[in-house]
Amino acid sequence: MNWGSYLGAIVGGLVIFFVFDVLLMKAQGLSLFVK
Amino acid sequence: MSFLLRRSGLKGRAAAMLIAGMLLVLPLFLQPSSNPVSKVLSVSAAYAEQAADAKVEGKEGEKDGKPKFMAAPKLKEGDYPYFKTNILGLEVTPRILAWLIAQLHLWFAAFVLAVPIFVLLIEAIGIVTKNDKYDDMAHEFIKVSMTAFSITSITGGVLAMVLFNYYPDFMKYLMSIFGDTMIIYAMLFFGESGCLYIYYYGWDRMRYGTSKWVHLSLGMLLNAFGMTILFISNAWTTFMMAPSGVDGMGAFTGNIWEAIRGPLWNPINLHRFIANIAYGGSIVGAYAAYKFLAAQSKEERAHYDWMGYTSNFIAIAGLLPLPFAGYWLTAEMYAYSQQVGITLMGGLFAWLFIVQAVLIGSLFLAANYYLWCGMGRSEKPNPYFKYVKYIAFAVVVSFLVWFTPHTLIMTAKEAKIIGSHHPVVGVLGVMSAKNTAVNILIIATYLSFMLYRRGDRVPTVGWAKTGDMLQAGLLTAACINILWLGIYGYLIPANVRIGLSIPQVFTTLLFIILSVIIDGKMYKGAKAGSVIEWGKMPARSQYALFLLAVSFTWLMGLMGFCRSGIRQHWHVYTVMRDNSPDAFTPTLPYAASVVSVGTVIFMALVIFIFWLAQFSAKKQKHEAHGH
Repeated sequence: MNWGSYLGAIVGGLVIFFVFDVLLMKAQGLSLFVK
Repeated sequence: MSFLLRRSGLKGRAAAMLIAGMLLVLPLFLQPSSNPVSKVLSVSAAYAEQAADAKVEGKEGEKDGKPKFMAAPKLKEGDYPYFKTNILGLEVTPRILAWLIAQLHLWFAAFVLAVPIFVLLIEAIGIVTKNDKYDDMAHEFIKVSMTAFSITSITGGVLAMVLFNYYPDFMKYLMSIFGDTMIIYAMLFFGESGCLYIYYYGWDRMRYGTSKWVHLSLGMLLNAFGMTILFISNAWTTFMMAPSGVDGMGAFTGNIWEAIRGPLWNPINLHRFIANIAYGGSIVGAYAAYKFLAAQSKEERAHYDWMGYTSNFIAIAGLLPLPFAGYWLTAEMYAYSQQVGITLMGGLFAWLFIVQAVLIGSLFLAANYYLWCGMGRSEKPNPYFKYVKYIAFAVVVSFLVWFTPHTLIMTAKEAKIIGSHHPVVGVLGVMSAKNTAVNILIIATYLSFMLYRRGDRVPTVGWAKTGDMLQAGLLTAACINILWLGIYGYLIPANVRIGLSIPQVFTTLLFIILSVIIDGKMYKGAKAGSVIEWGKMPARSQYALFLLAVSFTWLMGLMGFCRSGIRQHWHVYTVMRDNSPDAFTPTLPYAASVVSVGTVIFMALVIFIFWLAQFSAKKQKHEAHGH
């Protein structure tokens, strides 16, 4: 089993998805981080 | 264009046809400039003069040389021709009659508009792969829809008669605005019918070489006519739901494009376009299942098994993006009128969404179940079958979350004990939970399909194991992101929470796209690990295809009632009041009964169509009678 690829994909995937979360909320005029 | 036509390659021809098809429908989406569509169409000024009768309010006739249009008439109960009769225990009134006929017309119309879309695609695949099997299947699909075309026209004609007869003033008013589009609509039918007949009857005549490209172009033209017909009739529907291009009294302002392009027009165009494909796929899937179960030979069974598999694929391909088109439509409804949105999702109609959730959940279950059964087609056991139980778990849990209602029907005593919401599952009734569930449901369905596809092939690339782990990692990351957004939604204000559905959907789509790319590269040049034996399917899998068709039909009927019903006591929302004796919102059991009767009639007609397709293929043997 290639666990390095698995963990790398999780971390990489989470970073990519999170960046898009922030950008897509911004595109709607909203902020992901509610104070 | 000429440079495209000079190119001899497949891509060049396909691109030229695509551009030609797009040019045909382009005028619909163009903004009116100095020459508004209304001027070109010369909206009937004659009717404005006729409208000066007692029922009509407002001043008509010429003003400053411009035609002034009638305000929406204010009708009384006596203005509606009325009857009431009892047929087999069901009380029939003009509204029930119009409702059932309109619904039947829509079911058939959805089917006949969808079939040419995927027939065109399958035919194109046949050309590219040079495989006659695809061509034969496309031909058979269009054959099934031929009788349905006639029934669509018949029900459309009957619907027009019913509406003009029982709702004459409303139709007069609608004609005063959309009369010219109705003429264009009728003319487009000639174009569509002409293309359809040449497309179907010329199939074998134009099977190879340049003729095949002419045939394919006809298919594209057929679809362009069909889509334009759909978009025009959608404009009438959306005008009734969210009128535009009229003043406060309902008087037409003179620009037909303004009336057509209401706030809900494009959302409905997209939603119906996608839903039609899913629906058409499910109906031809039922046809394939019917033929599979009735098959006499192994070859026949194999052919219809493959046809059923393709139909299920089409239905799933349509079903996956459908919730997102639905969200857009609903968001536009809320944006148009908070009251409409709240009536839809927070009032009486909210319970229909629970029924909808149950039906859509059963659609996902049936589609997944069919794919799991399909894993048994492989000669050798599918190595991924062991994962089915986990997918099934995810599907069932998502399904349960999805149809958990926010509020419960309780007695006063029960409400006193547990409050207005269930103490445990009450939290699952809100959109944060439902958006999360539907995204997981879609990912699970995609996984079923991916694992099914992988079953009979072995990748030859050296990084296959890494590719597997990469996909598994991305899947985990996607699920974590969807889940945390869902949970985070409970902690933030509603106006921000609504926005979270977009990144959730995007995560699902991005994961599917990345996974398809990785899988495509991994399995490029893969060797066959097993042989697929088409026809090696248990009979019970075919009932999943029937379930798809029936659930889709019922769902369309119920949600169609919901879409139309939110106008409540208005013919045209806030503009023209419905004062007929039937101007009340029916109870949900009553509406469900009407839709169920419609579903039974529709299914009976569909069975007739299936039977006819089989009947027409048989040839009577000539026998000597001996005299």
